[in-house]
Amino acid sequence: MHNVFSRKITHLWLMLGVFLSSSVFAQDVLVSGNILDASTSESIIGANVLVKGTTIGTITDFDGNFSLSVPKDSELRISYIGYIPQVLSVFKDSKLNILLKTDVEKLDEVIVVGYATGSKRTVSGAIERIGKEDMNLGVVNNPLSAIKGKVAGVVIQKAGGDPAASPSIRIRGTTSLSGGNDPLVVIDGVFGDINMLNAISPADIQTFTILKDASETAQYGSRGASGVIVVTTVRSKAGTTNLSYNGTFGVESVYKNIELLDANQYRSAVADGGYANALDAGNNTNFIEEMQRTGVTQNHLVSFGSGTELANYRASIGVIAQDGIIKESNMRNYTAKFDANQFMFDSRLQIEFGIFAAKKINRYLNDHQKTFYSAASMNPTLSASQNEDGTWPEDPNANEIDNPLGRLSISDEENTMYANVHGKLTYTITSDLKVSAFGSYTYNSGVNSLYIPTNIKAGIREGEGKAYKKQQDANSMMGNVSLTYKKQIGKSYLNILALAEGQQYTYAGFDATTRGFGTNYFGSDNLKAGASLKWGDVSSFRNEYSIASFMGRFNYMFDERYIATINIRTDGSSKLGNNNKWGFFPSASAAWVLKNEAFLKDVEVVSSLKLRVGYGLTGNQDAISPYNSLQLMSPNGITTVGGKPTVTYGYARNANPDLKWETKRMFDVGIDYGLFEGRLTGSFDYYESTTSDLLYEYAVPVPPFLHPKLLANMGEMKNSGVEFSVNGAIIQSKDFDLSVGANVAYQKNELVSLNGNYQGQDLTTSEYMRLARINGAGFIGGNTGVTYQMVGQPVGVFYLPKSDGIINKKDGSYEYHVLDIDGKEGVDINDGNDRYIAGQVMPKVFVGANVNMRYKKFDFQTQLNGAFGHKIYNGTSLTYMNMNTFPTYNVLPEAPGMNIKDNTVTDYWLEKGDYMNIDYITLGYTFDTSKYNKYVSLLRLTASVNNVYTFTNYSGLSPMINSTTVNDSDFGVDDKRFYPQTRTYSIGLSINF
Amino acid sequence: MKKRMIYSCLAAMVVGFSSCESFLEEHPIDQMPEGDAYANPELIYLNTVANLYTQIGAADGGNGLGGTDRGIYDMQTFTADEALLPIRGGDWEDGGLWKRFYSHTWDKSEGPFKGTWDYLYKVVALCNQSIDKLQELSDKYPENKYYAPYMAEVRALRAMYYWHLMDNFGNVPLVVSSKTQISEVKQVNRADLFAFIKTELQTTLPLLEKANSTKDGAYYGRITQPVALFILAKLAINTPVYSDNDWTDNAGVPNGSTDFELDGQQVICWDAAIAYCDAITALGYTLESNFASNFKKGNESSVENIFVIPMDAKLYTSRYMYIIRSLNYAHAKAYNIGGWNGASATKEAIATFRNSGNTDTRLKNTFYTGKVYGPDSKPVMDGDVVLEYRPDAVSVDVSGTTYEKTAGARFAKYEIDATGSSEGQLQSVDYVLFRYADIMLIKAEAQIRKSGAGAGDALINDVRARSNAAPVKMATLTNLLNERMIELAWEGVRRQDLIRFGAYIKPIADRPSSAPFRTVFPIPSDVIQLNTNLKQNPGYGE
Repeated sequence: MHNVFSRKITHLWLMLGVFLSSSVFAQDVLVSGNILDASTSESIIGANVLVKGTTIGTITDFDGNFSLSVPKDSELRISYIGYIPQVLSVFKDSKLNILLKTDVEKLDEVIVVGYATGSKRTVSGAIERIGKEDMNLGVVNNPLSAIKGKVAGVVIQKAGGDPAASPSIRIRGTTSLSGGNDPLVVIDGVFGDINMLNAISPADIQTFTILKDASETAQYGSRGASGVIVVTTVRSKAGTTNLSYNGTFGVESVYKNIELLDANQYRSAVADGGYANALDAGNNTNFIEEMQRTGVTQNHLVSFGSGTELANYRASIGVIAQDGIIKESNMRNYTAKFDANQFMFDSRLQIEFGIFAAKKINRYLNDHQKTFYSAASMNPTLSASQNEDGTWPEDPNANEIDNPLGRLSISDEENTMYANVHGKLTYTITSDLKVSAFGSYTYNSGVNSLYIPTNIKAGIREGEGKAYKKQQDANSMMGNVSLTYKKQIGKSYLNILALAEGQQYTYAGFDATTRGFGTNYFGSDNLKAGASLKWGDVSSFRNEYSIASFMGRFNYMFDERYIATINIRTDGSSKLGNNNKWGFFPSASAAWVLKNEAFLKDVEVVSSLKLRVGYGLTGNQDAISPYNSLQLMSPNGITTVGGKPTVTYGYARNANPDLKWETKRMFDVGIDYGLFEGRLTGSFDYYESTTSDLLYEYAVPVPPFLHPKLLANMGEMKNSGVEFSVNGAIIQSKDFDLSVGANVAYQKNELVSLNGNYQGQDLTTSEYMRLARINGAGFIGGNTGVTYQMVGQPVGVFYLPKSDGIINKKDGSYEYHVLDIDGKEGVDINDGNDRYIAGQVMPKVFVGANVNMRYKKFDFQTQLNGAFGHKIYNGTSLTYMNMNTFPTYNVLPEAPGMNIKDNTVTDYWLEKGDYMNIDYITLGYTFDTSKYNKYVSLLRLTASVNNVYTFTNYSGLSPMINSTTVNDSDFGVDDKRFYPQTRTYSIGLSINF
Repeated sequence: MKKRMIYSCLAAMVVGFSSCESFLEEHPIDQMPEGDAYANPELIYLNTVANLYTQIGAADGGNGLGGTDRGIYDMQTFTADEALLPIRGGDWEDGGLWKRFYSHTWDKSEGPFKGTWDYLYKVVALCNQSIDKLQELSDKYPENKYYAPYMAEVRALRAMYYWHLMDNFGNVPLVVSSKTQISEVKQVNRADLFAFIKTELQTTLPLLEKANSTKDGAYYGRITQPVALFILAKLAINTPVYSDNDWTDNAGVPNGSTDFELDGQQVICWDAAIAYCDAITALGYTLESNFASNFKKGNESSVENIFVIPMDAKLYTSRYMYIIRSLNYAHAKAYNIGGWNGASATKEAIATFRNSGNTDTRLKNTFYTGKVYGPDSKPVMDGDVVLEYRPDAVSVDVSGTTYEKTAGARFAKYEIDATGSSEGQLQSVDYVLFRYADIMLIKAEAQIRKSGAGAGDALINDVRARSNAAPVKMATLTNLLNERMIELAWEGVRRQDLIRFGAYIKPIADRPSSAPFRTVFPIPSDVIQLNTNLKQNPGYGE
């Protein structure tokens, strides 16, 4: 690799020399011209004009014009994707009018279909491609934000405005109970998880290809069950040399804050209610506002690169920095990327090489719930400034909350590093047959540092401060060898791929905690400064696993009408039980291009029509950790042996030697359509999937089991849905364009069964598996469960006591009146009694819509996202309306009047979660650079507002909470932990030289 | 050239495939295969016997025989008549759990039941693994003389856990092998469990060491003869309870058999209890001269304590939460530990100590009442006034009352270790599970039950004299039960005592009498759901 690389650099210097010499000698002629589509006479924007064999070139502007100074007697090559290139000789200054003819063969986009490359024309599965031009504008600090709302069935959500939080993504819903619901991410052939996306700047991405259904995700076998996002990055085009800058700068403000009693209202409520023992420290503090500031967000990327027909390279360096609206919370992400590509030996050998690296620093707001709960319910008469002894003002009786300003001094930082190097050699054996070898190495390290100072309540609780350090790294290697054969034989087109692949992952790390600090000087950077360290405070780990795979893909098209694709993959994973190491994941799909049939050929209104159907199997093993299938011992405690503290070993878990792949079977049928000369395009899909052998930590009976949980394959989950998208280029003219796009996805989920058999024994699981509950003062233990997992229901339902309102408790206070609905005498709100299924957590319908407009050099874009058919539990209001905790804990302004003295979790605070959000509005202006195009080829300014407005009836801060990621903390429950949404005003600049 | 290339690619694939099997083999790095855990005699002891002792105490709620919250201790203490966790506005509502415990209206789905069940059976399962492993080893090496005492120690430990299971949950499954299948898990009635536990302890007793288990050294924290004898004494005195398979009749007064088999002879259980108490006395146990020194730092030297959870703020992870859970915030802060301002003594408990004006000296050793002073003897301030606990203002819900945060006497039995950490939960006072004063009172009780009022006076007065309490004359069972409250308050024995005296379901302040089925807790509902062969205890529905 080193040799190739140095040769490459020599090559670059040579090119640079040619470029310099050609501009120094005054033998140049000036060529200008206009490039039009031969059939429509529309200008072609962005067409390449290149002097053959050199890097001298330019691209056409908005009107299809170009002008270029070229050496005399040179050959100009004019090309544009989807058109047949033209070559012209130039002898003197001239003005050319060039008409390019469309290349029917290549008009469709080349898309990466997993390991294979194909074109939309030959694909028979459900695939979505989002090019750079379709990505979101405004503030885009994470690659996922670039495609949010763009694809039906791909749900991207971020709850709240925390700069350190990353969005979550679900493709076609939740199909697994434990882990493995994140899609596989493949960047330029490198496998990774969602976090790997942070290792590249959004502006470095050329295309996202999203594989939704099993007919193509089966290519990735065991890793493909939750969909695959294939990312290709920007390459320098042949004939261009450029330096470009892309940046945004924005300020953030709070979209909406929760308002509790201010000090005066608090005092009157205390007086009116006749509360004894209320603390009045004489101030008027809004602790929520005291924690806040104006946020700043910045995103800069500088890239440069050059290309010829034989080689290209591109390098970029970027920084994304965001200071959140809550003081101290921030995020920094530094990225660097380099790609080089070169052809050798008569272009028979292609060498591709890439590296990308990123360092991301997150400064977290430690424990959102504790902090925001504290900020809201602090006694407002307390002072906002620190006490003289360094502690913070607090009501000693308010034991469940800490001074939030004190909590801001908790330093909770995560520092991650991602570095990847990958390369690919492709050798063209014959024009039809290629062999390629791909190799990749990724190093990923993470350091978590936490310091809780001695002078705040949390630090005192821990024992005079606590410092924690965790360092872990992951090394992953993957390599594959593949053969591809593409051939057109008469009316038949064949595309065959065979591949063998190996992956190896090694994880290692350690962590340490010390307590008992005399000073806060060191933070977590000198653990020796802590006096106390006991068994269990220091630990380390190391484990590894590997996957071996073989894959074959067969893609056949007959007469541009009938397409069939078969994928066969087998995966072996070291993590699985000895008898179940290998899994087999086949898929098949077929498509019928109706448009090319005689009966539609002449129907002008239909410009394209394709019917697709596919079925396939994929696997999932993410819930399994290495060694899970083995009966192993690890340190389990310390005891005295012969008077000496001694560590003993015990079985770490209920081992399951039968662990195997979770398998998902998916069926998809869809239509891709184009009407009115392609002005109206879109697709419609229906899918059904069944996940069987669900991997889950099942509750098992103790005895005979040692531990109450067992990781096993049992049970079944079903998902189905309908996806519809439409994109309309409503107006297309020289001065004015208007296009509108919309997509709708309906999703249905059901946990069919959780019964199974473990080593010949029938197992049943608990009927009511609680997920999220309400926390806080008075909520510890008891019937505080809100969201549940239940067989026969969607994953995540609200299972609550039914209340028909509040009733007077005789003493003037009110409580929630709970109905007796189970037919048994008396009200019993335990699981299985007076509770009912009151709705589902996950939205049934997701909607995304966008509008793009251009008037002359101005353009306008907006994106709307919405979700419908689900509910949200407003635990925040339940807590802050409860006068039982007043005056120790502050309440909402309406609370004293309503005088509810009850915190029973009932459906009273269950609300509809429907919303429609205007994600952003961007206004852009592109300057006319034709006069300066020797220096500047693009200059564009934008102004954006992100998170413009939310239409909702939900009474809490925002309906955009976590409604899609199943967990046992905040799934479907808005419970005092919401980092306020921000609204961002930003300006952006793009300039290409 | 081309062909050769294709062939070599294919060859590479074939080679790749055949080497896959070794590529996919697991070689654990940070965990150890079972074989290595039993590689030598030291490791065998460590991983069949010593590892069980890490389970006696615990680092978190639900686990451990004492020291932690929401587990077996809370079930003994907060359902009896000695303690309650009043609702204090926003604090301690906890879904009504403590109110239900206090008022005997608990449900089969209460968290502490499930936690305790899982914990007790986890240790049983660990014991079964150890026993099976030791059996395997002793079959293999019959000449080895260590395996038999190891096995005896593990069996005695398992018997202690079954004792707790039987005492709390009544008819529970008896599982004695690590190979048991779910379908083989069957409930055994209480009398049969009682017989099993008794026989296990009697059989293993001679193989156990005589050593004191509370002293630092080779037997620290282990099951030795005095520990097993203590449990046997408890089994004997509770015979009418444990041999009674229908506890829902007779208004909650145990009416089982009083037969007890001792050394192959049928005797009346009171004699058996006396015999076991005497056997403990013979091992050299006696009262500490100072009541409080059993609960002070350095209590390893106590001559009275029989079985403890070794605690050390630096060395071990076992936690102790009972002082913290009780003290008011300001009070705890004065000692630089956490305070949860919760657990308080009932009015009944305080009344028993006060004994119509003759306040027992053990009150101040057991509870904080009235004005509170810090470690420096300075008054602890609650805002502008001196913090003052109000023992008589306590009730099951004190929300909104003047004494919302100060109602109730607070726990004072254990010394607050100034060198502790984690809010004081990690500290160096060993947690006392069994002590000799209890044995003296059991013997006194057996004497009264056998020979009538006054028969236990000598022993009762020995216990009282240590705390300068006036001697009693012609002590009845009621006097004895009160003496047990004063001596053993909040030591986790009250529920068992009350049940034995038929007093557990009797009314107290804020609680009417409850049904006899409450003397046994329900099988946790989750457990029945996961193993439908199990039957719920009477009174708790399906």
